[in-house]
Amino acid sequence: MKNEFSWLYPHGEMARLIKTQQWDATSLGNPTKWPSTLKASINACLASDYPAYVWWGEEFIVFYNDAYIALAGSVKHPSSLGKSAKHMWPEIWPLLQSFISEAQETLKPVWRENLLMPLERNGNKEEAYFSFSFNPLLNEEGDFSGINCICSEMTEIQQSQQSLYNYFMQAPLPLVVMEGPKHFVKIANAKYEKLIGRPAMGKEISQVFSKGEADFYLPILDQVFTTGEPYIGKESPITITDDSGTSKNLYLDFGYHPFKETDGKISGVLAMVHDVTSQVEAREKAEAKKQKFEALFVNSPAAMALLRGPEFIFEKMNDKYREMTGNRDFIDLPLVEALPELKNQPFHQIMKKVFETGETFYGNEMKVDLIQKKDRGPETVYLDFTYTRISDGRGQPYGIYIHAVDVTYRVLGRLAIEENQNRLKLALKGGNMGTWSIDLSNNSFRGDDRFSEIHGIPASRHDVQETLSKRFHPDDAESAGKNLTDAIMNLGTYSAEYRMVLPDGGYRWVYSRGEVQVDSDGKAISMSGISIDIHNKKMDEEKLRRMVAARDEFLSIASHELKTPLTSLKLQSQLHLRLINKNSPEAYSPERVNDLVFQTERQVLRLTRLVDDMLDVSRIRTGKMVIVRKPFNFCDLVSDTLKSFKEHFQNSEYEVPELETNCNPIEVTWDRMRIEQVLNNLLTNAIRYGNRKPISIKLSDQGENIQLEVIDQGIGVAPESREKIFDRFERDVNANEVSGLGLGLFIVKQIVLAHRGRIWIESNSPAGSKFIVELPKQ
Amino acid sequence: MDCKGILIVEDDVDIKRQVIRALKDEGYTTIYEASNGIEAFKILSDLSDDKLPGCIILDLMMPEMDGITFMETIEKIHKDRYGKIKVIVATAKGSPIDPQKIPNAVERIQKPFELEELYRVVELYCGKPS
Repeated sequence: MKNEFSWLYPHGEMARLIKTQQWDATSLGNPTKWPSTLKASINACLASDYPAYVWWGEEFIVFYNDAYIALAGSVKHPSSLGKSAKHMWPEIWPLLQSFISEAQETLKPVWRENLLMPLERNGNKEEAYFSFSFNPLLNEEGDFSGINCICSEMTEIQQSQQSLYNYFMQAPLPLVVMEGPKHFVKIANAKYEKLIGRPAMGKEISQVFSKGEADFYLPILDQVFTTGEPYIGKESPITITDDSGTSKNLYLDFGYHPFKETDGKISGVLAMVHDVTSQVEAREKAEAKKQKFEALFVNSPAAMALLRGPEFIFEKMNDKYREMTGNRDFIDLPLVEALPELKNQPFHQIMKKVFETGETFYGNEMKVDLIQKKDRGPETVYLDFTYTRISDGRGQPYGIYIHAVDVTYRVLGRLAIEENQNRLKLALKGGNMGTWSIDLSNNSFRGDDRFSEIHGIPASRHDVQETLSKRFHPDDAESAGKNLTDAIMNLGTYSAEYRMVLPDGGYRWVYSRGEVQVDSDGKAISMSGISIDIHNKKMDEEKLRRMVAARDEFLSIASHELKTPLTSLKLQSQLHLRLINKNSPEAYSPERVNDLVFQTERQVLRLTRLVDDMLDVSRIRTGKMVIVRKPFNFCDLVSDTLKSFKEHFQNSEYEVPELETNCNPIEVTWDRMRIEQVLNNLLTNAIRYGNRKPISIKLSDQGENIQLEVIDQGIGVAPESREKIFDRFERDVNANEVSGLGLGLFIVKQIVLAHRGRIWIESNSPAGSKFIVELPKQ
Repeated sequence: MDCKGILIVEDDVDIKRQVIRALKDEGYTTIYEASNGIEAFKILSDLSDDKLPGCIILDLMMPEMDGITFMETIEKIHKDRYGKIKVIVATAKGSPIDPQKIPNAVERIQKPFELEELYRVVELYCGKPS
């Protein structure tokens, strides 16, 4: 066998395998019969380090070299040696056949580069790329006999090229590779085509864009291509209109980078594009916003300032803030230096807290002392303000934003109103006045606390009619109600005095006054006014009235009383005068003369007594009655008094009483004259009211005290009058019936009291009264 | 025309005495006296119709029955008998008296009155002394 393959290239695996192959079974037959071209081709193939194979004969029997082993794959090597090509590559046989045909027909090599061939060589389907020259082989006769192929598997390269291509296509940045001076778009990736909204590959760049769209860019491309200097453009504006007619304005960062050949010649340009539209727009928006804010900030009627950091350094402030702080210039100064007047005020502390916690502080009408004018001390202002913490871009606390509104006027205004209201309240209180208001739309009224107190009603809303009928004194309700109605109808003033029935059943005098308020149409909508408690005043008026009435009565009685003795005197003197004028001797008769004198004396005495009584009363009233105590025998006084009474009653029908008890000497220390007055008064009283019945006097010595009783059998004193009878001007019976001033008993009581005694009345039976006086002897 | 008689109704003894004396001095002889309204009626009732006085000098302020009540009583009850007697009111009271209350009072003399005045009214309403 050695001789068969002496011609064979001696090295390599394939050489060995060829030697061992059973060639007789193949269509080639015994290798000794092989044509020399075949042998030469085989040797040429085996000697090459480049992958190559030879296919010979009608079956295109396969020979290949060592370098081809990898291309063949593990399944097809070594089994494919000596088999037909079809057997070896059934999966691509039609393709191979077409090559064979072409080579056979043209007798020219078939050259393919990077041809994709779907193979099944390692047990699975794969896509492989080959560059090869598929050469026709001729036999010695010059006839086509086989194929010699030198091939190179480009799969890896192709794959990496493909990957590269993929990377390119999928690159996150729009990329375009242009070739040549006309900038033919070799590759444009997806991003680029999306950006420009149209396909770009395979055209000159100027064809890609419509007229006007890319006018800016073409000259630059030309320049880059020509000069080889890259160009970087930033934020170039471009308006792109896509197929549907929609235009968009874009901003692009782009770079044109020239591709250089090895010889330095420029073959094309790589364009990298970065769509920075959103950045530019965002920036412009932010800028616009900032400017807007700036405008707001500057022009705001509120005072605004921005302070930086924990030291609160003034970074920015608007005019209003500047104005509010006296136009001092403290930018870049910390708060403590900028506004030193805030030293003892809480604002720094508050700001600190806001900076620490991030919680916004809302100051409401806070009092701040700020220096607002140069060379002047701090002035008080009231501010509504907020301190808000602001953060930097990374969310870290940056500083404080101050927003303040001067509400001094509002606060001072309100304080002034409050003060006025307080003054009014005090004035009302001082004047003991309450205020009220009637809502005429529903006839209800309401007053303040003082008003409700005065009226004895709860401090709530009440109905006018109901109150008039239920709470007003029945005698006053009608007139007060009428007064009110008239005032409302005439749009005038309401003024009324009335009594309110109080919860305890008593009543209170109230004076109310009010005025009607009208709306813009002149219709009465409400009435408001004041009320005053005039009860005491009324009571005083009443008292005064009573006193005046009593005094008037007294005067009338007094004049009447005084007139009585005067009448008598007048009559008698006129009578006597008549006698004298008539030259009647009667005028000088002793009887007539005596009578005249006695009568005169009597009447004068009466007059004197009356005048004295009146004087006494006046003295008592002004506290001028004094008693002068001296020791005397009371018994004597009593008998003396009775004696003089007897004398005076001589000519009358009246029986002068006897002293009913044995009068032992009773030593007392009293004001004799005053006690005599007491006796006289009591006796006169007994006579006056005694009904002409006998009067008696009783004296009893009770050790420390003396008791005197004057007893009559007259009309008596009603039990209910037994106190009042000693009052000034009071008399028990009908004033018309009895004469006398009524002062007597009053004076008597005063004298008794002055002697630390007491006086009272008891009934006498069967009729009459006992006037009992008890006096301590000393 | 002679005065048939005069009734004095007066509670003050002194005044009463003076008036009686004054009338007597003037020549009037038929003089009755009472201290109050009750007494006055008693005296009148004891008199026969022809002996009734021509006038009454009446004080107003008296106990038991005052002057006003006396006149009202005559008006209401005894008008037939005493209605024609002329009543002269003699009072110290300064205030006016409701004429309604004293329809049968013909005149009023104010205390203290003049003697001459007393004589005048008595002569006018009762008559001359008999």
